[in-house]
Amino acid sequence: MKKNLKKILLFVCVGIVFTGLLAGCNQPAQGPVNPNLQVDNQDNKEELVICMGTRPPGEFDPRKRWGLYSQSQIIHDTLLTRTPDLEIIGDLAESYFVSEDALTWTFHLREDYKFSNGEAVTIEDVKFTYEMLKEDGIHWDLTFLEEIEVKDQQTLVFHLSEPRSTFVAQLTEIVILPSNHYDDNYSENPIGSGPYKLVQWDKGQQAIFEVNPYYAGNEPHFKKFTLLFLDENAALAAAKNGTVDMIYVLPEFADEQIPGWKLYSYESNDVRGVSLPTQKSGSGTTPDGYPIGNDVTADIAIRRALNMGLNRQAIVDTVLNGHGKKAYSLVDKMPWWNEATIIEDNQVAAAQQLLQDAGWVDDDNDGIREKNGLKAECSLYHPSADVIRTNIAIVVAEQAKNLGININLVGSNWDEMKTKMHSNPLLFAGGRHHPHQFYRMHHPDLAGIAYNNIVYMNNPVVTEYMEQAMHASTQEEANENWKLAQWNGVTGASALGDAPFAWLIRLDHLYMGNSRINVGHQPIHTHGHEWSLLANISEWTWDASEK
Amino acid sequence: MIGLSILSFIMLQCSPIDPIAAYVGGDTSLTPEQRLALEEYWGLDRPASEQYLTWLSNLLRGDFGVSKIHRKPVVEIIKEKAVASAALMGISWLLSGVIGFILGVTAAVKKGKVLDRFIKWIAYVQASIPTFWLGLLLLIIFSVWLRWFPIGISVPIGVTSSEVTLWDRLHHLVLPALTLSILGIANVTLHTREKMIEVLSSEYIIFAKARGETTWQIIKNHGLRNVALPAITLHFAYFGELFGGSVLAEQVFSYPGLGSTLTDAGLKGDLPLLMGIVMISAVFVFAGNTIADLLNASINPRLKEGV
Amino acid sequence: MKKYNARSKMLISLAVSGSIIALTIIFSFWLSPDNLITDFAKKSLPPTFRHLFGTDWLGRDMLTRTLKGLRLSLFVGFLGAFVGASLATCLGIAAATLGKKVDSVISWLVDMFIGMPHLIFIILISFAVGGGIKGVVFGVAFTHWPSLTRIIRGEVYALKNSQYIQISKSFGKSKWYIATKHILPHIIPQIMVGFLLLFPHAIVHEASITFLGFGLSVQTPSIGLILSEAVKHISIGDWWLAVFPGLVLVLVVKSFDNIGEQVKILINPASANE
Repeated sequence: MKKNLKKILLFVCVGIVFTGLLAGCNQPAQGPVNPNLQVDNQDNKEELVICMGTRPPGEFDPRKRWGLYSQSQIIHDTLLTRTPDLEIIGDLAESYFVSEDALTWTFHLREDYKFSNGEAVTIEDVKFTYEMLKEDGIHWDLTFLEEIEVKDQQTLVFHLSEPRSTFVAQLTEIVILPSNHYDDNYSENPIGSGPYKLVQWDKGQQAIFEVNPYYAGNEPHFKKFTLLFLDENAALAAAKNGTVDMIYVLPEFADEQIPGWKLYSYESNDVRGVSLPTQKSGSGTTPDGYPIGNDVTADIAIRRALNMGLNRQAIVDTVLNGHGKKAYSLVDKMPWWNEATIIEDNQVAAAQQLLQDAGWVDDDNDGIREKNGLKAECSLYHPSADVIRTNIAIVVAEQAKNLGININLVGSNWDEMKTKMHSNPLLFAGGRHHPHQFYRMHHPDLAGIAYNNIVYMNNPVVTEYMEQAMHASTQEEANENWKLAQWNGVTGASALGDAPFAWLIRLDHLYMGNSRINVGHQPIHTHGHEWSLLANISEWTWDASEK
Repeated sequence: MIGLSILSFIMLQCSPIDPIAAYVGGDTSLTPEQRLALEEYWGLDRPASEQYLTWLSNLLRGDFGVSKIHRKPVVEIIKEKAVASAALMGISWLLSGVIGFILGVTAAVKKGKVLDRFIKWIAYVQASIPTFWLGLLLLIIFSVWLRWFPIGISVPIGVTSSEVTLWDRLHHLVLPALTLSILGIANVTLHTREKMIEVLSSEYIIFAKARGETTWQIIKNHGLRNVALPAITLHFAYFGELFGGSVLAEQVFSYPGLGSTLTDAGLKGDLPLLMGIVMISAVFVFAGNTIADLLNASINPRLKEGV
Repeated sequence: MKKYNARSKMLISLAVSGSIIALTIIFSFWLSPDNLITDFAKKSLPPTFRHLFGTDWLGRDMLTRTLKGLRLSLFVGFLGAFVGASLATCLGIAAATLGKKVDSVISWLVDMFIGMPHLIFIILISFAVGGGIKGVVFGVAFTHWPSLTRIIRGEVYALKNSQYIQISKSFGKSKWYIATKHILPHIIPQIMVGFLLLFPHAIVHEASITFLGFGLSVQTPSIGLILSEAVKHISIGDWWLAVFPGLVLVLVVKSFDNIGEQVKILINPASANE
């Protein structure tokens, strides 16, 4: 008997060895390919190979969300831009002036900006860009933009129908497009006036960028960079083989040691959480025809119990290997964040009590609570290609079980999730350098449009505060109202109030790269792991003395 | 073939995945008017039978439709990927044939000896090793430990597509090809071994032995000819499994061929692309079987004569 | 004497294969699901005595995951083989007894299915029913019947023309009577063997399809899923994530294969010489 078992094992071993032998015969031995070995002796390096995920989100076109993830300053310019300390300064606009009532914004444009095809950036291009995006209206809300007036060839005036405190953020994100060369296929051949130009883009493989010879600003140190579209695993392997210079890494890869490399780690407000649809099922459909509402998460007790019962630190430790922080809202650490919304979490007993009091009782002793015959059970959709979100989902489901809530994980892709996200919890993400996302994710008027307010949050008090914040003429006044919208002592959009989301963690953005790359002064990163670091690639330098 | 196309079409019609959402992708949203226009464009508003007929007539004209995820004509994508897949499958088909044959002959000559039993074991075990696990092991040994080959990179880095050399391509091809060929060896080996033993125990071989021919001479003069053709026939019939295997191997090694494209199309609900590849693979398998049949018919009489 | 040896050898080998499968199933129930709870203190541990197969990047015990995953594979494999064998029996008998037209339709179906790689059909079916575990189960269940159908059809055909059935017919027995009383008992061994030999195929296909990412939730332990996750983590060199689960899978598949082959020989000793 033993002999037979041994035999089978032997078969397998022999198979493996045989495999090895066979390969050995077919393939003449060769050393590892390591182009960086030659580079190592160089004092200067002007080309980089970088791995940042599997695709360029937004595909260079603002109509497809390009610009929302700190990508605006690579191959494009914007009217205004931010310093690493998040101060607003001019870019294409040399100077700008906002009227007292915040309804008239006047910009004086610079004359020397040119697109990568050599044509000058004109005032018509700016006007075209904003008007086109306003009309498109899907990812950029510019409805308040009443009129764009061309005063003279260098002066542009935006007339607003109402004050808009987040307009300034949009001015730093909306890239200026060439009116003569913009069409539906712009993604394939994007022309911009930024420091780099796109030379080649093999979808799913790589994109090659070179310096834009017509760029008006300082010439970047790195003359060419190649963006390789690899998953995290292949990227790490490429890093170990020395074929790349900088990669973005998963937390579980962050402890790997590569000679001559270091870990680049940056705090972010890139939050992950679970969206919890606030409406009951049968609440109709979205404009695109997808169902709205979920009977389980429509109960505020469930939403609050998840918020207070989940153990955020355990998620940080398990999924992020400690490379992250607990998160409480979409706007953690920002000037418009209400710090009163920090709640004590991991209160399993209190959460259970809360559910009990709300009528969620486990009558049939199957570990899952019920209320009026409805099981405390829901699906949680997560993009299965996203390792971090998948792992968070696994831990969340596990922790929810302790509360008596059963969460079934559904690994999916965005195409499917777009149809499910209004009626099911989703492993969601967010984080911006401005509060506009907070507005979009909680305002009833935007519910169901693209990724805005997928939970169909509708709290008139919150909406009123948000409107006041939007229409505030000073930033201080706006911030005050943003904070009240999160929690005013009675209600709000935070975990203390309606709890339409259970925000869980903020990731540290992790990268590994050659220690001699100097990535300059990085601001606190926002959602969008890849481009957060690349945002200022035109300022990167090679520090030969660093070892 | 037509039956197959109807069947696949019916099955795909049943799928609950919204093809419009799949087409639009995660980055954009549609106004209802745009949506209607798209539906009209693909004829989604018409009954299924009509859709099928349109699709079939287009197919016969060589028009496979437009892929929803790649937004390119399906024919173009298939052409592009088929080259990669053909290289992969061709090499592994040849390799597994040659190696399998040599092993089979060796085993037959050394019948009952340690070498024979060894080869039999390998063939026997290897028949139940899943392709993707084998690929995974190769990946661990050669890419992770020895670092001879890249992981998950299907193209050379930073070079424009026109500068890619043949060597670059081969370098990315070795491991998947190896995986696939190992998969196909067992079949040929066992078959060859049986046939060879049959031939070697026949009377005229005993006669040849008596004449003083060496084992090698006997095999060369009498064995190979009689055994090779049936083995080749069998190997052609193996096209179907080869294609199935390539789907898995391409996934493990992120090799950009028809197999991984098929998986992608299946997962993302790209109907035209999925159908296109299924049809192409059907043609491919059909061709293999037909060749096998023809060969069989032509060699069988001769084989009888020889024996 | 020699024959006795061969027979006892065969029985031993059957027993070994059987116990491998039995152990897998028993352990898959016996191992506590608590081992599957994530634990940051136990992340990515190489195999030790406490964790024979090591742990994954979330601190879950790989032995438990593997065995529980195999249980699912066995279940889906069983279903696939069972549905396959049942379908094959019905279609095979129908083809042989219900006249030329039915025969040609069924033969045409068989030819069509046999030509295409299993995997492609499973992908198609899984896609058609909307993916998920449902897709995997349906996909595997409805793709394993063609070759067995062909065998059974041939068998029944031969039987039908045999003398005693002709005699029974001339006695005026109904078609149903002949089918159930004469034909079925004869082909049951064939069906059994066919069923057993389908099993390993179905298991491997279940693993393959989940490996490709069709269907299962990450909560469901599944061999294919485990191995596809191993691919995603391969560059940190955690070899145990891939090696052990695959090894156990091969063992189980081989065991089923072995049982099938041995039973085939037991039932039909003549085929031992094949």
